[in-house]
Amino acid sequence: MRILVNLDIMMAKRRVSAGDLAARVGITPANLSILKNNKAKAIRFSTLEALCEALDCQPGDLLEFDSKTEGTSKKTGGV
Amino acid sequence: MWNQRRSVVLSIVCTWVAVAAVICFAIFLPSAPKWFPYPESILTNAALLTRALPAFYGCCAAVMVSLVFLLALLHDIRREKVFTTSNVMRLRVIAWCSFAVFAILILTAFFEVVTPALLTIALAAGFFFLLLRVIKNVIEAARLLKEEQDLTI
Repeated sequence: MRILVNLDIMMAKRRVSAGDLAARVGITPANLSILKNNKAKAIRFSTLEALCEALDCQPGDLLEFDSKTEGTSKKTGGV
Repeated sequence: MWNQRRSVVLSIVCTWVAVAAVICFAIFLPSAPKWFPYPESILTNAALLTRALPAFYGCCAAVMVSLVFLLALLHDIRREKVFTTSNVMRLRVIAWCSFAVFAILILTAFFEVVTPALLTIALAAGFFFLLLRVIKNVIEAARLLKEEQDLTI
């Protein structure tokens, strides 16, 4: 994925723990971890809105486009 | 009351019956001319049967492999794991087993024995191969959708 989630940077800036942020945003810590580790395929606007509100930031502070790495394509298993 | 779980169990039982039928067919195939009731069949003509025997056993092996993969697929469906990479792989193997049956019987028809029954089974296996390929593609697309859905936060 060429979109990077800089959640850990914003969390460090705001000094918020993962459990606390998950509770404030209303998602599970497991889903927050998926988001933090760039494993997520998509993010809902409602989640992004809640994250921005909880961390007092803009969507651009959380998301970044990485132009250096190659784009991902949907892989299939074989013939 | 009939439900999805019982339906899957019925499919598993039917698959085990098919496994038993294939084993019986393989065991009793060489002695078929003695007991098979239809005189026009390839199974009652000992000379023709001997020439077609390797092809029949090849088909039995391919069918057996596909039945084993089908059982694994059904057990996964029973555990509610439907749209997974391993199930896509199983469907792919079953499809190629159908193609193997098609190829074996067509080659047998060209080089050894031609009977309407053999050609019909070959064409059915070929059509089954196409159907399974499409089902495999559908399951694969569904797996990708599910993965995207699961990883949407």
